[in-house]
Amino acid sequence: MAWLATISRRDAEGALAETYAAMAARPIPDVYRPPHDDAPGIIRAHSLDAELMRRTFAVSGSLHRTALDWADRELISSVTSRTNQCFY
Amino acid sequence: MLKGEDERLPQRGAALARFAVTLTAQPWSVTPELAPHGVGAEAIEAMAAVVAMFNYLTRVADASGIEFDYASPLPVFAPERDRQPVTRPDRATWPEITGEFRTLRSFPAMSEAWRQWREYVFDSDEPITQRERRLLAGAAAQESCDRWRADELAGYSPRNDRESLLDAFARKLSRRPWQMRPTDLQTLRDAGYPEPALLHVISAVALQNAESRLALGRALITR
Repeated sequence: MAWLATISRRDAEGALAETYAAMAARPIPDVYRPPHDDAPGIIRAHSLDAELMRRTFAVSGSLHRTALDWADRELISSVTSRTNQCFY
Repeated sequence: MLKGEDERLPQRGAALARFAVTLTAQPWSVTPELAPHGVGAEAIEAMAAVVAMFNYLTRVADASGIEFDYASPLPVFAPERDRQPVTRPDRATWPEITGEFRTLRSFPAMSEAWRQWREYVFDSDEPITQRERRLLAGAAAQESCDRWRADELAGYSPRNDRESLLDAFARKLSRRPWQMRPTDLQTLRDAGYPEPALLHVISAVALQNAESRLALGRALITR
């Protein structure tokens, strides 16, 4: 259970439910799909503010449309996470 | 700075990894010599953006205490929680990267998305004040040794005990995010910050860490 309060996709209403739905509709590799029916934890961590969630993941989604290919992005992101001693 | 496995990467991969490690752990020391051979300015900008974004996401993950929930085929990663952060250099040596380099000029759509994100996180009046956001960002910019942004926010130092708690939270989450604990959020709750405010506190600190790295990463092509 997260240390910060979150709202699950099942309990979401209004703008948050719409934002969750929009994010779930985005294409993502299978390896990034969580083994549960809820949104990934990093997205749920933003669930107390649907607008913050929308604006944050609009940026992360746009990283896939740059001069880097998938392998380079994965290498850089995983090394960044490991350097910060983080599993994400 | 690289781990043994990284040194076995092909030359280009090792160069990308070296850039990511340096920009994450000691962003003040990025120099043009770190630029991978044959990688153009546009790709370097994209590399800096990826490092920046993951410096945001990892801090949100560490401060909020979310659990790992991807079905990854990779070996389980075990963080070194007692690892010490790199010592920060004297302020006089911090690089100065001005405001125009805090954008993604090669990628207009992403640059606009970043601008809207930044505006919401740093300029909103609720659920924390603009002053609180700037105090948090100022501490994060200092911990990133980002001279231009630290100078811009120099007027936002703590004035009371409550602001000192925010300052301490921002510095820990910036310098050693892997050591965040539930008590770090609880301390702010006890000081009267409700849950939505805690999310914005985390977000302001994490975004400044990201923005400082975006700017300092651009040093590869600006200095």
